[in-house]
Amino acid sequence: MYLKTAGSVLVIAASTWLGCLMGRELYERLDRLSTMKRIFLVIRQEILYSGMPLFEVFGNVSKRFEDPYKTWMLALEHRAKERNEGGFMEIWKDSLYQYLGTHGWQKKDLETLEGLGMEMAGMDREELVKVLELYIERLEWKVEDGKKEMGQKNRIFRSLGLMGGIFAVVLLL
Amino acid sequence: MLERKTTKQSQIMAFLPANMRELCRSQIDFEHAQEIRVRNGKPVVYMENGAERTLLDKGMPYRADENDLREILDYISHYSRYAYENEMRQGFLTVEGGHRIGLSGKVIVEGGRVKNMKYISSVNIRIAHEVRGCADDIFPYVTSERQMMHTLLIAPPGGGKTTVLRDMIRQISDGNQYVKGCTVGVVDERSEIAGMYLGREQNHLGIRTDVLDGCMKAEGMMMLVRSMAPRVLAVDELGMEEDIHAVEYAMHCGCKMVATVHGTSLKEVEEKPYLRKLIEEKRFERYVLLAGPSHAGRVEKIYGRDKKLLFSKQERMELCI
Repeated sequence: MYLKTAGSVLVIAASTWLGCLMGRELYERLDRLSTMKRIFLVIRQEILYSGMPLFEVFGNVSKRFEDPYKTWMLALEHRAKERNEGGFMEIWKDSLYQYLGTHGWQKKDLETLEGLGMEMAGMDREELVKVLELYIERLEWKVEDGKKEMGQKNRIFRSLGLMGGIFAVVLLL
Repeated sequence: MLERKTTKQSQIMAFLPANMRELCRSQIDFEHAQEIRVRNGKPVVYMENGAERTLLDKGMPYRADENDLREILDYISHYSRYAYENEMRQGFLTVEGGHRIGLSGKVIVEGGRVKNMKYISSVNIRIAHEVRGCADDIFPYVTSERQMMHTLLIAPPGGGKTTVLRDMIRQISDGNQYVKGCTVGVVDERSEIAGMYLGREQNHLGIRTDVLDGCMKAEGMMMLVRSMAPRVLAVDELGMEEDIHAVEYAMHCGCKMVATVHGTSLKEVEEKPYLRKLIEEKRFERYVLLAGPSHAGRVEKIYGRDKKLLFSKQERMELCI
């Protein structure tokens, strides 16, 4: 009797914990998008006020962030400096998937950022700053939308986890 | 920091498109090439030892396309055209090694001024050649008691004025048997003398040289005199009225001037409206006339302050020192 009760409690706790974990994944996605927004803000400032070429901008920005963003920026710095790889679009896209795709970034979020690579190399300062502002705004929207949904989805995931656990207990018993 | 590429070939290969690299590596002698011209839809041509040649691909002229030009522009700007807006507005960029890339294409005009250049249709890669020692023969005539005299170098386009000036700056800065090493200020309006690239001189200008890169001559001379206290001030291609006023100011401040001007003879230079005054007032102490493009850098004649001939290559005589 006591064993059954203990087992039931454990099953319900485990499934509720799984539900919370899924909610945590939402939170981490928002954190990634917010970090990327801060990175773009810093890049925008560097371009606007220093006018340095991109490889220097990436090198400077990498010092202000932790991995995987630091490694990503350093890789961009290195590849932009070497100039052996055709267009900047290829460098940008490859490095996005290589360094961020393997650290939890979802494909739909990476696709949002891909287009920036095509535009960065050929623009004058004014146009580039406006494009960066557009991407920053886009990331802001994603973060705001995500925050609005997060509370609701967290509750749903926790409830599903709890219900799932109770259902499993009922089945097992 | 960028690692410095040591040879002309590696410096120029760094910004050639992938399609052209191997062809250029096998056909062009970069130590003797003067320029490479890449035009959209046309054969790539280059000048080597004064002769024009065509870049070949399997026996046929290699025709550049817009992808080649886009790639060149991406590489010379490090994928950052926005960082080189000022240079593109002037129509050229300087790259590592001091080589100048001239650009031609659709100009964007705003408010009556060139704002930017888009749709680049042709590129002229001028390969820099530093000739150390080309000014050796001049120093006995332009120095007195180990000090420089106010000197004006005169030559037609392609006559080697800038190359000789560069060597003079280096020797004045470092010192030699004729002149004691001293601080030299250089106003390098078109980045041809020092070939500054990312803040680094690509040509050797000596250990005591300060360079104002990309600055207009008149303003630059004033700035250097006030801030860097040069003993000698060097500028290339005097011409405008404000340049001449700045030269006068610098001379009044005690700087020795070493300058160049376009011309084929001293008489022709005297007819230039703003320079005539300086020559009549005997401000310059020496006039050095260089030969034309066929013998670039060769000293033809040297005149004294009062236009007395001191040296003539043709007559092979030294009249007076």
